[in-house]
Amino acid sequence: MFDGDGGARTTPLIEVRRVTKEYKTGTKVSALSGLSLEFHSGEFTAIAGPSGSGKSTLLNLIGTLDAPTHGEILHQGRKVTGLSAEELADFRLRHLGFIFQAYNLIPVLSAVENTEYPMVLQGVPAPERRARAMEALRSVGLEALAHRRPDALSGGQQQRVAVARSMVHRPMVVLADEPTANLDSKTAAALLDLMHGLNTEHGLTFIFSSHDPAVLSRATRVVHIRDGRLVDPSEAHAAPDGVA
Amino acid sequence: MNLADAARTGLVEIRAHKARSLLSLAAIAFGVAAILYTFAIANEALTKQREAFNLVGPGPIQITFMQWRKEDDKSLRLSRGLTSDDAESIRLALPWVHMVSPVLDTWGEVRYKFLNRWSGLLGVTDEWRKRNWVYTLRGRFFNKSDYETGAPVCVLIEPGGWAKGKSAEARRWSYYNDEDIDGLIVHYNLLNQEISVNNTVLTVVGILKDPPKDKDPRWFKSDRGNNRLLVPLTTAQRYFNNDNWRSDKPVAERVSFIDLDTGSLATVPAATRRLQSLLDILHRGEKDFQIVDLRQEIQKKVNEMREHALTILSLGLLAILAGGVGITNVTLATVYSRIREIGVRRAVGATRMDILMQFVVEAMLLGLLGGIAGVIIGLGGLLFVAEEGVEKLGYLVWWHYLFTVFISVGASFVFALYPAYSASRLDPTEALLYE
Ligand SMILES: Nc1ncnc2c1ncn2[C@@H]1O[C@H](COP(=O)(O)OP(=O)(O)OP(=O)(O)O)[C@@H](O)[C@H]1O
Ligand SMILES: [Mg+2]
Repeated sequence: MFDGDGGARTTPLIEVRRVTKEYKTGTKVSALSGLSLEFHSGEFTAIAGPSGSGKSTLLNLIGTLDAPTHGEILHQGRKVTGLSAEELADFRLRHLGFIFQAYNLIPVLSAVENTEYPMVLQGVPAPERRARAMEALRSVGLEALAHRRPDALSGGQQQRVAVARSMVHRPMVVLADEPTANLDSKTAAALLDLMHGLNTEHGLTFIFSSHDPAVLSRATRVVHIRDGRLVDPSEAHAAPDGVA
Repeated sequence: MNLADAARTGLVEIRAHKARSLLSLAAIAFGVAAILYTFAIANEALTKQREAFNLVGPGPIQITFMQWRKEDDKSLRLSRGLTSDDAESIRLALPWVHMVSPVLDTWGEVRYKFLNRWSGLLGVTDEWRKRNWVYTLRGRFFNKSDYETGAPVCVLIEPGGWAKGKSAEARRWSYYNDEDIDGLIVHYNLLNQEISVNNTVLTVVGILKDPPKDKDPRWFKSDRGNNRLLVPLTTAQRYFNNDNWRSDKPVAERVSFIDLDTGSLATVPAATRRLQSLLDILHRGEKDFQIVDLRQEIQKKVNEMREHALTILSLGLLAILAGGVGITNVTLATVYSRIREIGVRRAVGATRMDILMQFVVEAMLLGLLGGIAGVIIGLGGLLFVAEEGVEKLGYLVWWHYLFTVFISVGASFVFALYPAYSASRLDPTEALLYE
């Protein structure tokens, strides 16, 4: 279903080339400093690092929500830095899935409506998108709660809906910034099980950030960053056996 | 993202924030109600103008007698004033004029049994029937011999009451005043009775009934209802030519005004010029008459109504403006309370246009609901608040409703643009960080 192309090593799925991100708030803050990284299709990669190390910044740049100050980012060999806001929105809509730490969902929409939202934007006809959204909810085990609003769902359930929404339009990668940070350890483990299951069964590529060792231990590849740089530059490329 | 989806989400949002939505909805609704009222008034003015024009005839002219007050009288007394001879001369000189109706406008004290009441009295010729004939007649009108002999006969005009839309109490009060001539006419069946007017005994040969007040097309005539007594002009000149207090030379053939109808609007200016020169000669240059274009008089009244309508329209627009600012406010509040959500939407792939449309459509839905509510409030207001409301309602046409709703939706669109635009310009990463 999700056509993860695990074997092709010639072109990385995502390439981060010498990316620097600076914020100017009075003094110049370098969130990322000349960072280079590659991700391949089918990976289940964790970005690890202490608070303020630049994890969110990196994921936002990969997710085209923000643009780097220097350097460039390529998706499937195609440069995304420099695209217009509308082109980027369309790119995200077709190729990326997002899960955030919390408040992922649109409050007034039910679980299934939230799940089908990307397809609403894509203009998928109502019956088809409803069927696909229900299927995605089934795969995260929330079929029964499909018509509940987010405020009637637990934090873990909300994150599952977010997972369903992030994968429903068959993206090439799902970006998750600390998806378990607001969950207790048991719920967090269950969410990770779910994500890992989607990765192994459907070949869905995940890149997620965390500083929780228990979460990091579930990743098939971990990239450590600190002060906007790789702790170990050799981690920039995936180990040949690093893919599940 | 298509419109239906935006509308659906919009409705959900509106339902989720009832109080907020209701407030801006109310402001819009009042504006809409006021505009609706304007439409009613404006259309009433138009309709009445048309009715009035129809009624006065296509080429109405009135020649009025300008009596000098004794102290201002600088005339050389060469003229006898306006007389029925003038009317006769006009008929001869302008034979193509469709109506020449001389009237003596005076008053008399009416006695019947033990009652005495004052009434306006008109001495008329048969030509009088050609204009403003809005009555139903019981008995008969004057005949040839009445006019020729100055017979002691009269026709009374009975008040028409109200057709609808007034409480029984209000109806009774405005129907007539018991204490004046109306009460006498309404309470007693005077047909074929004898009454005394200024000590002259007249036989009531007919009774004309006014149309109901709210249906009376003679709205533009301020003196309607004052003259309840009609007599043949010759009779009036013989017995009731008593309004000579301003002039020291009573003239037996005196008339107060002559109503004319040239038959078409186009001939009015030419006829006016002819009348002017003719009367200048007949009155030997004395400026004791005035030629009035009645259509202009009606137009003046219509313009007054239009001004009234404009005032209310500006009030309505002001209310819409207030409602619009309310929409801006509500939309801004909605945007602020949903910054994170906007971030999520943008991350998932909503374009700036999608975000803009989302908020604009939501506001327009509020405008639509407000517009519909306004129409209902407006109709309710016209029915229960305004006294002549029911009558006004009749002047509303379907597109008035549609147009007012359209205005409120349009205003909502305009007033939501700024907040919706600022929402669409939010940076996704910052929006996602917003607490
Ligand atoms: N919008 C911003 N404006 C200014 N500085 C910022 C902004 N966003 C991030 N930073 C700074 O950039 C650096 C990296 O921040 P980032 O949020 O990427 O760290 P993080 O690893 O995600 O931390 P955490 O684990 O706390 O989420 C920090 O020093 C932070 O203060
Ligand atoms: Mg972070």
